[in-house]
Amino acid sequence: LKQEEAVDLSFTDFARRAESRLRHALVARYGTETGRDAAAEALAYGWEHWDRVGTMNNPVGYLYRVGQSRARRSFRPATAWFPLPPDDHEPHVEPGLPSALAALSTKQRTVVVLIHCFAWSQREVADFLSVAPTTVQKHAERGIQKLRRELGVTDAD
Amino acid sequence: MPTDLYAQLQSYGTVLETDAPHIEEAELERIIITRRLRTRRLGPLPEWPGWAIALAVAVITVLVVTIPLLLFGIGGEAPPVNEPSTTTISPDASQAQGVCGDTVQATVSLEPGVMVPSWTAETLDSTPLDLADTCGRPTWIFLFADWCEICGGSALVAFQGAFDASGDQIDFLAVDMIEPNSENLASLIGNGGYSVPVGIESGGVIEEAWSVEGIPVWVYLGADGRVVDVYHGLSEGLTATYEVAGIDISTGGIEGVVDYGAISTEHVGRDVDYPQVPPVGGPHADIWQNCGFYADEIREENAVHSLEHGVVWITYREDATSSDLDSLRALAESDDHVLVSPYPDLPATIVASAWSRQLTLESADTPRLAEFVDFFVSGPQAPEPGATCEGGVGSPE
Repeated sequence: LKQEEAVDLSFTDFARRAESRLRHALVARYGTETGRDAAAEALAYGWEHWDRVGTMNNPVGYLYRVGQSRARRSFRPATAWFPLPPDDHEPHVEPGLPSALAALSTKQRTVVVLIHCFAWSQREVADFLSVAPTTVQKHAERGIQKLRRELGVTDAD
Repeated sequence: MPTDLYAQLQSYGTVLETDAPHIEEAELERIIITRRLRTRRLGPLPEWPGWAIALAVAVITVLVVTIPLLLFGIGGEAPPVNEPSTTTISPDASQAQGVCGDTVQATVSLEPGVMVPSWTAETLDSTPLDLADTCGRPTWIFLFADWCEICGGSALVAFQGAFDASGDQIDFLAVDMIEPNSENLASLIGNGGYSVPVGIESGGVIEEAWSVEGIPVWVYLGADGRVVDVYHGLSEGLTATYEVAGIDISTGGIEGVVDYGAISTEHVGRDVDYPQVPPVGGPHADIWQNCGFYADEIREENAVHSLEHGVVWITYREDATSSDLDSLRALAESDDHVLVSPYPDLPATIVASAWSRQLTLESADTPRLAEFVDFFVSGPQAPEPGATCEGGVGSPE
């Protein structure tokens, strides 16, 4: 968003567009419980300080950092927690997948979950996290390799 | 045989979406109100259209709560906890009498196992309600404020409902305790429908002694005057209230109610093909349907958003009699969270739906319909109980 547009953008419109991105990114990083709470805290912060946050070049990126600091401060995210899939979930998900995701490095997990669970493009992840697309690709590949080893699935697919 | 890893991850995305669903505006509002109560910080909130009423109430209240503090020189930037203990507090003041007569800390934080200091509230007709009288019996306590729209009315209705159902194994006590106003409280409970003890405590004693940092709060106090459990927030507190009373939140104890379990709360711009007729939840429009009686069909995607707010949506088929329609009009008028509209191809003459719950009826002439409305309006099934049903789309009769 350009700065002039951002000034005019109401928080409602911003929240409508940014809520899912912020929530997905924090869930990818901290797991569902802490991630969602941190996203709600960050959005509430954004609303309270919208006169300032609304004029920033990248408000959602800023709120992502607010969410990270909330998560560190309030929710003690020692390990990311991911829910077990229901037994009858279709298509089938290995019960070992949540813990395998939790065991990835923070960067690998964030990138893998955003790209493969939440269907972001590599470019979107790179822009959101303000890192080079090649870095995103590297983390994604290593994360997937590690998941394959953990879950014992082959490269054949 | 393991499914392709990419397919599994993609599939797992829907699990994550269900477990960490869309964050609604009402939730942000709750966070902000709680934070402001906690830090007592001054300052107007920026505008968020559609929230105006609840926010205006919250802002005014924060001002009202804060101004006395400023006058007494404590200042508006007092830290949330550990307020400076001034020299006027004598050593004796750090101790007080517990619910069962023990000597306890005068100021405690509400945590399981803590023995809490007792206090006294009074009913609107000035009958004292002494917490010490509950010694020897477990007590379910609801701390709220009459001005707090999202934790006043609907939560009190649920509290009364649980009281009615709970038998006499447990005492119930609701207290209006942060800047209470007896006129507001009277208008909340004024119709005489309340038999559960509702008190008012205007000295800020409970807030101080129990370190109440945000409302609503529910406290399960053991027979020995120790805290057993504490619940914060409307959704958690309503669920706990029904559990305490032994009420089945799946059906509300009403015959024929079907529970559809967890459902997505996502917002979508498109039309949705719902599995139930009429839908009981799922992806829905950004804007909800205004509550009231409609003679014309309404859009499902808007009605589902209303269900999310704790609304009961009653749909009727063309074979509904004029007596049925009169009953439905009366129900729509009786509660600002009831939505009534015609719906073609219903499986029965009348279908009442709440979020994830449904009751199919051949006629409006059954007590089960009013029971369904009573139990599920702003009930524990709703993702956002108590959120508004005005300011959306549609003009009811």
